[in-house]
Amino acid sequence: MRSTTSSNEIMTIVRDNFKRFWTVPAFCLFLFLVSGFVPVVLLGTGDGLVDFSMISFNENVGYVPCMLILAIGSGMTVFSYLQSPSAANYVHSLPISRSKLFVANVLSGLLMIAAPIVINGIIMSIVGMNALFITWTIVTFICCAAMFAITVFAAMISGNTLMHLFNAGFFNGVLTMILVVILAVCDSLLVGYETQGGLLDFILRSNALTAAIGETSRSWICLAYLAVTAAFLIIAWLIYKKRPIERSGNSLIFSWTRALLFLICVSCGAILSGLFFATILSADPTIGFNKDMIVGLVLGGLAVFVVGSVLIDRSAKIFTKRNILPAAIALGLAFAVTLGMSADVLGYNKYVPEASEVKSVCIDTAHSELFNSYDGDYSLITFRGESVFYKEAKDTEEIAGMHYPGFSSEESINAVIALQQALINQERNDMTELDCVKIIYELNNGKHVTRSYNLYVPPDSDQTSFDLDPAIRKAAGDLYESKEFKQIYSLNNLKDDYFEKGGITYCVDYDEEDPNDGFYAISNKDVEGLKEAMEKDFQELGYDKAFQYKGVISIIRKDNNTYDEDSEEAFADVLDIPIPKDAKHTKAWLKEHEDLWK
Amino acid sequence: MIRVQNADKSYEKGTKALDGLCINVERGSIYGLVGTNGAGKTTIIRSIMGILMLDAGEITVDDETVYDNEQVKQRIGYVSDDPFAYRGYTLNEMGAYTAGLYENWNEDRFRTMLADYNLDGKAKLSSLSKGMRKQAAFILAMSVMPEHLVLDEPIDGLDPLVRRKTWKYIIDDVAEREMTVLVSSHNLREMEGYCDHIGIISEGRMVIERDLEDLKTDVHKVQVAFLDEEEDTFAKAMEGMKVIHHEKRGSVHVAIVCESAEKIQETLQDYNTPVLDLLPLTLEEIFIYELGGDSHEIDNII
Repeated sequence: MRSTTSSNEIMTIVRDNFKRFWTVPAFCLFLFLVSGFVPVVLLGTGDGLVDFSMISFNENVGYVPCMLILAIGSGMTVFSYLQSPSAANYVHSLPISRSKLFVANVLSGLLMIAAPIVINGIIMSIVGMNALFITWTIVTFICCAAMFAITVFAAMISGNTLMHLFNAGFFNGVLTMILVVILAVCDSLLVGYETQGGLLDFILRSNALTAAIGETSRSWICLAYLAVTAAFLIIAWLIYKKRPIERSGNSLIFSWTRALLFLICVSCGAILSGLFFATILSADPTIGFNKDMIVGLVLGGLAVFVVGSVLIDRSAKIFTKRNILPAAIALGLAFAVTLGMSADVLGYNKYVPEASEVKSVCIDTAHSELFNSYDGDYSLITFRGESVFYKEAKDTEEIAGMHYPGFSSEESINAVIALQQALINQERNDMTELDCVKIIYELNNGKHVTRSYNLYVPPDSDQTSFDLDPAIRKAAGDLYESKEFKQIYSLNNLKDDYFEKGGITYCVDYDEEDPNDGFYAISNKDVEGLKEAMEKDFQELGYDKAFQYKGVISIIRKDNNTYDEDSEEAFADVLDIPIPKDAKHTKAWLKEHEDLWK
Repeated sequence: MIRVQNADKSYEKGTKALDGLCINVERGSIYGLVGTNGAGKTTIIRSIMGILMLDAGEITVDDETVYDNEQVKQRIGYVSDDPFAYRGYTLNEMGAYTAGLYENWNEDRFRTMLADYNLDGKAKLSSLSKGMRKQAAFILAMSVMPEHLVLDEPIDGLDPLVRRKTWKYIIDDVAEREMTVLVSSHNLREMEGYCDHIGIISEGRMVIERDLEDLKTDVHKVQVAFLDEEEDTFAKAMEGMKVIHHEKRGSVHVAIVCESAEKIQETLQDYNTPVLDLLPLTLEEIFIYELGGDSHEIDNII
């Protein structure tokens, strides 16, 4: 008798998967709602209690684990039959081809992922009355789909549930792990390596989970992780067609995965352990390939090898040729990397570009002791570092959220190059570490070279710029006294509206020891004289005299006040211009206009 | 028909499970596959079901390759030696799942067999005994109305009544629909009663594949005693016949002779034999003598 039931095998599998595994999407929907919808409804988004936009960027303590559970949970459940010999035998005896089986289970998984995300997206869009959660739905689904695809790939190469879970986590995070190790090695062993930006930004986007968090570059993340999803699903499908079912129950289906896992895990573990021993546990202040590093490399590599072998073989007999060989290669690789980086085989530590190669160079002038006050309270160019204040700010680079103008004259470039050389050569042993100086070169070939050096002063010093290495002070002074520097940071180069007459109040906060010290308003007509006086002093004073401050003149633009409703405070645009002790013109003008604040 | 040609299969650590194995199961026959533990029975059955990929060789059902062939698998019912069911599923749910995958699913037969085997469709399979799970697997396999039925030790562990009932279903379908059956089992006495063809495999190779009646006709146990026996009387009497086993118990010679009964009687009638018994061997005895002896004895039987 022919059955009247539909013979659509794929839909049968999909229906059955939902029937068996509905708890995964249901739980995740619950978690999404509890983490986002419930707080918004109960507490509201006012008074800073719940930040709706942060939730829409997955910056939410509940959303992150939810995405992980949803993606990996869906992938593990729909392909769980591959991890059990009896289940694998049964499923592959059914009248459905491997390709259809693969498609049916992938479709099931993607639908299981989509359901809670779409439902939560709709609910939050209605609650928030905006389109933020439409974007959230798309980005979160794509990133979860990518993690799901990698979990499916892990299912094809794993033979039991524990290894499936491990491989899902491993392959989802392996790129991030490798990049973190590279970053740690560079940061620890390379002199001048800058951790901010570049590689660090890429690390945050190198796995689908962290890529889904935050608001930057969402369109390229979607494209990139769509490609990742497609690639891993295709690879998984190709592997599935050849997957030997008789190996279900073994930890790993293919022998090459054992070697790959050992190679990556042992080398990364050894390197991180070696760096830990060399930096945290070592009494030697110089980080390098020393005995602490060697001990750390060996212990870390051995620990990962033992744990990994037991996990894979589920036996105490771990010292087998197929385990030891890749682990030994991995440990050798770890030794080679750390030794090579310590020995600076790439020449990174000593590299200084030739002046003829440099198109322009930016230097962090706001945060380092190079241009700080004698007592450390004021940076010379707290505001002067910010190029938005200047008319002629070109070739700017962003450093720690501030934009610095680029120097392109031969005099300035030579000064910065000399400064970099002095920073490389400064003594570090038994010295106190201060803030760092960041230098960004733009070369004529379009490439950028970034270096970041800590400044070191003797431990018993006052820790000011006067305690720096003389070669550093000379180079910094050459830069400060260069024609281009004086031109860029001239007060005459400030955007006009800071000194615009009419509607602007200037206040003076001068001489902390003066009993009359405080904020005073001065009239617009006097501002030209003050500006002229300060400009003369800036142009005349050399590096040695420029950083011993007497006080600060604060220029407050009250018509540009910003009132913050939450804190009920007003924030004004303020330019702080430190006044050096030897600023004779400014002091003369203030003396002449004493009536303004008496 | 089911045909296996020169099947080779090795497992990961170099274990060779199948070594040029050939099997021919004719349409409408009940083919018994027997062999020692580790001979390769389950491996070849899983390969026939398209679960395992062969390293070499070919498996066809009705001249179509089985591996990854949905249409061929639609016509095959399968009962594994280790029946599987999804966790928490009842018989009814497994029935519904199976019905969604097989075009020829017969709901009436499913219900009838459930009642006949006295199984509750609402019972969770995990709560059933191992024997009852095998019955359930058999019911599911038969309900897809297969043209070919492949059974891997299905009867082992079932009580006599259930075994009889199971064989009845099989034989009825063979008679009515010319269903082809391939069954492996260690219960050789039972197989002898139902199978019409036998394949004995050892170390991944086919040792004997023959019509069961022909096999039993060609091998006999001879118990003979000679009057006025001389030292070489027995040897002379058996000259020209294949003797794969011989022992003497007192004055009686017990031998396994690969020859027809007529030929043996004709040969021995020239001798004065106060004791002469020709006994057909059971399948179990054939199995033991084929696989329990030295290799040259296996060569002899062929």
